[in-house]
Amino acid sequence: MIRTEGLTKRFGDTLALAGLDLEVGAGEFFCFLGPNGAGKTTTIKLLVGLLRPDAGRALVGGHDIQREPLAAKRLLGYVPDQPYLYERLTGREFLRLVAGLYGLDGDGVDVRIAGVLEAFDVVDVADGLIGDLSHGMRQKLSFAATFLHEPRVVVVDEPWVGLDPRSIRNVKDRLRAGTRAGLTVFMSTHTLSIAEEIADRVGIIHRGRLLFTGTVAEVKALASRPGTLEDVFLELTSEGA
Amino acid sequence: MSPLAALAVAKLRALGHALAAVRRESRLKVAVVAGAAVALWAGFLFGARAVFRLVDSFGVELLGSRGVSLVELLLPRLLSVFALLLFVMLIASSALLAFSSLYRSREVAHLLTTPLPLPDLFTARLAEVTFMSSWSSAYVGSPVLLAYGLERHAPLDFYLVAAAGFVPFVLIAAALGAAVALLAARTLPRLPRGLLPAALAAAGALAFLFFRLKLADPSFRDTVDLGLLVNLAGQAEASFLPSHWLTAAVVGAAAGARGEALFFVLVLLANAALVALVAAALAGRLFYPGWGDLVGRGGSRARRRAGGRRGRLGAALRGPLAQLALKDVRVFLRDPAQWSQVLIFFGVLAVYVATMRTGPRGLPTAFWQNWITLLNTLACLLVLATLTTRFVFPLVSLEGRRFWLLGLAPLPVRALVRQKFLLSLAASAAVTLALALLSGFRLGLAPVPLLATLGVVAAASVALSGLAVGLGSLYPDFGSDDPAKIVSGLGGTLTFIVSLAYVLVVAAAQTAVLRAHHVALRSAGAAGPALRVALLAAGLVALLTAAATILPLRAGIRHLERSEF
Repeated sequence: MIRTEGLTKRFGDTLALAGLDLEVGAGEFFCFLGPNGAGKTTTIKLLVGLLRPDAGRALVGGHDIQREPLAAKRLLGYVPDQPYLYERLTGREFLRLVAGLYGLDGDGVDVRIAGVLEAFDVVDVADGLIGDLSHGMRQKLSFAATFLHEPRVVVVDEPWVGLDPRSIRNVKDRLRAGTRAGLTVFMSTHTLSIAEEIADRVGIIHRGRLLFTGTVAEVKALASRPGTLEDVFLELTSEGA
Repeated sequence: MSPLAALAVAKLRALGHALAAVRRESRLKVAVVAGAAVALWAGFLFGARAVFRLVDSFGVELLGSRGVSLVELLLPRLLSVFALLLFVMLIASSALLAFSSLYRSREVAHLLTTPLPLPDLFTARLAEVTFMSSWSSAYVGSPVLLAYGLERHAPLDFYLVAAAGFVPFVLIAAALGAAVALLAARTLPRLPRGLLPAALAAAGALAFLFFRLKLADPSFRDTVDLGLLVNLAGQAEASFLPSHWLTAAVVGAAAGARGEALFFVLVLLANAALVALVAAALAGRLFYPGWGDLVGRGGSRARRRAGGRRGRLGAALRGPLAQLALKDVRVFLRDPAQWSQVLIFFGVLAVYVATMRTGPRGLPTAFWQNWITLLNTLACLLVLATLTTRFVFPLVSLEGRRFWLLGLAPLPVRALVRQKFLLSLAASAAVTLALALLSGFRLGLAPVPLLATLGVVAAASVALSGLAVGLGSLYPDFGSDDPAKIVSGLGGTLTFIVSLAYVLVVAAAQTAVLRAHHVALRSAGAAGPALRVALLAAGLVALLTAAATILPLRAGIRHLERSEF
């Protein structure tokens, strides 16, 4: 569902991403790991069309995000690390806007909105202004908006900030259940324990280059001595590596 | 519902919630702002009617071989000049707004991840830009048109034509401004390093030379020649200009020529549709690549070198307040939406200074000499009020999201507010005193009027900086990172209105001093009363300046000290 071919991005003199080749299949939960400034968010922004690559291409569901952006975006759901929400709309009004942007219409929309509000536990705050919501509530609302149009690919950038343990469990369960139904999840995170717990495969990126992709067990096998995913990650991305 | 319609509905709902939020504001604050806005509008109406009546009093002038009623000639041309100025200002403000709205908005980044087609995205932003850039034009333009209608005893359909013509007129300017922003965003980042400043400097020098050469013509020195004034005003009547179409429509409607009025309204509508279509086509080609260029630009070696130099400067500056001031300057210089407005502002000032030729000493009466001096003072003070409201008022609000840092630093809130005040005072006094001095010399002001102007400008620098920082602290908007949005709130509006009121009072005080001075010059031995008037006026200005500086600053500091972040 996600494929990148030689994806390259420069910011001025800095090479942020160097020829990334990657494939994530349907129903797969892929965790993208790397230290700060490694190129994770750049990759995600290239995948969702917020950046234009200097070379290579990114495909979502077979659609090049640059050449067929609308077809690709209809399949995509994106939860950024700092989601933009309209402070002067209520949660429900915001979800109606998102429904409109994705061309959802008719009586079914209200049912869908009620469903995602329930699923992400934001029913009680749905009719208050977003500007009055806490960070965690906003994050849950952005998840609700992402799932409203039932995307086939969900790209998530460091989603756990501000969520309480129950909400983290809820989001994890929801994403995991989604992958069992064929949803593809591409998640960037620093929380290695969660990646270890739920990822089908992980990719480790460092200084714009993909160091490794494979299952957690395969990554662990790379380590010089047995340890957790965190130990292996630190070893692979150490300055001397 | 189409995606564009969904977006429009959401925006209207957000507007509804914003209006509801105004109802929750302090009633006194809302009443002061609303009352002052109405009073200012009425003042514009009164002023415009006075100008039209003045022109009406010119009577009949012999032009060539026949007598011509000057009011018939000059009034429409004055309207043309006004409409042209409005049009140019609208294009400039729309270009800046469109740049911020298209390339600096987090909302656009959000919308780009949805399947909203780019033409729809552009249409939505153009509608916003048109609305945001037009309300101030409507506020300034409506009293002028109303005054024209009242003075010409225009029929009712004049007002309908004025409204119907104004909407496409604004849309044309907004679409042209948006096209300028699209072209600039696509081309400027790709220019070779150093070419942009060189091109700007060359354009500035050419503009200055143009005005100097134009004004070197001896005939331009005699500004009291009404025939020449008619001809000069006629320069704004080029038939391809939308400002001319708007003027022709309202002048026609005022004269009862309905067919002519309708024709020009239709010309405006057709051209608005065409320009909007061209802008949308440009957006389809240029917006996304331009967005990619700007977002993916990153830091160049040159910028890093400059950063290194400024970093050494930062290390050389001692103390937290100096570091905060340096931070404010850096943030300002690194925000194109901020410094580009200043650049345009100074461009207008350069034209203002370059076009000065005739000094008040060349004018026939003390009445006119005083008027010119007063108008020059008013120009300097309005520049100051605009600078402090637009750029100083948001300074405290912009610290809102950084209060986790500033609030924990061993630095009293009082010191933070004082730093903003001193920074504002230094910058605004430098600009306006230089402007007052330069324009005073260019106008050939005598020592007393020049000193009076400089004194008033110096006092106003203190007062208006205090007002902007004080009211900015009293009515902060910590939720926004956009200075333009912060200023457009109730607090910003209140600051501008109070600043204007201060400007009018101190300008009146200066005029009283100058009148007394003239009286003293004419009648020997009358220096005593003139001195008394001067002392009284100076006392009033000093008292008002102290009040306008200290009271808002104290209230702002108290409010911040009690605030929770």
